[in-house]
Amino acid sequence: MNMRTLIVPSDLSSLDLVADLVLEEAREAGLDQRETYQLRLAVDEILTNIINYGYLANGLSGQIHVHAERYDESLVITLEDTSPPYDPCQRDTARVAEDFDKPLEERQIGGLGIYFALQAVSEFRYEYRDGRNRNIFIMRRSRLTSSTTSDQQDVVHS
Amino acid sequence: MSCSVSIDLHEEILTAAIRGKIDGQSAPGLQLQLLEGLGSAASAVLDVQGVSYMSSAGFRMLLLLHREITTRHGRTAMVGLSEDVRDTMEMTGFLDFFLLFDSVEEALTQVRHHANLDAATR
Repeated sequence: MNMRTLIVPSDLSSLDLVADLVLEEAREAGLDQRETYQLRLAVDEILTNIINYGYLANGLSGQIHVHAERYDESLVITLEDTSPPYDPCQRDTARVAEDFDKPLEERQIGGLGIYFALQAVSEFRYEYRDGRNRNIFIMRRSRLTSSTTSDQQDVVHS
Repeated sequence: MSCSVSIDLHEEILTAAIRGKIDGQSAPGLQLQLLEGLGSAASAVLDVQGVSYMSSAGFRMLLLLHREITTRHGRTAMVGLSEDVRDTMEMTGFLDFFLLFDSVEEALTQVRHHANLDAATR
């Protein structure tokens, strides 16, 4: 296992820094183009929410720790922050997906970011421990087993 | 700045060449530039050949622009969508609401054609 940590401030300029880290780690981990884009999208969406709603909207500032762990079969990115507890899994993403059949004029604005985050990766986990939100993104390499692929399909359709 | 846009307004059509990443940092400013740049134009051609990434903040921008253009009975066209951005637009049912082209010239011709047809039937 290979681990790396980046510490960034809780403002939007950090989006670029974290995207660069994710892209670099994805390349090292051997993820393909689509997996790389999806993982980057997932991390970017949750990080944007943490900065805008966890910190800025509450008049807070702080540091966000980004861990990248490379294993034989997967890349795990963890965002750790000190803003108030917020579990993205609480969001009703099924309701967001109901809008996909509607004209753009009738859709709700919002919710799409968390929808992307939850469905883009092989597995997403949230924990709150020791005063910290931990958003964990796991991307498994597709070329490994077919069961990994069917797991990903389940995530997309659930 | 992770994103830039150059805007051209000609014959009731806004053409915007966007470069870089459309994310939570760049999208709010870009959205403002596009909506203001629209002026009295009814339609827009977004040249996104230089856009490699678009998060939900960009989808929100597209949604607002599309709504504005719909009230003007115009069309929104996109040129040179990358495969990754196209995938996410397809998944969310966004793709159906935009005319897609490989070149700006082709987009302008078709958008003008639609505008003429609409004018004839109104």
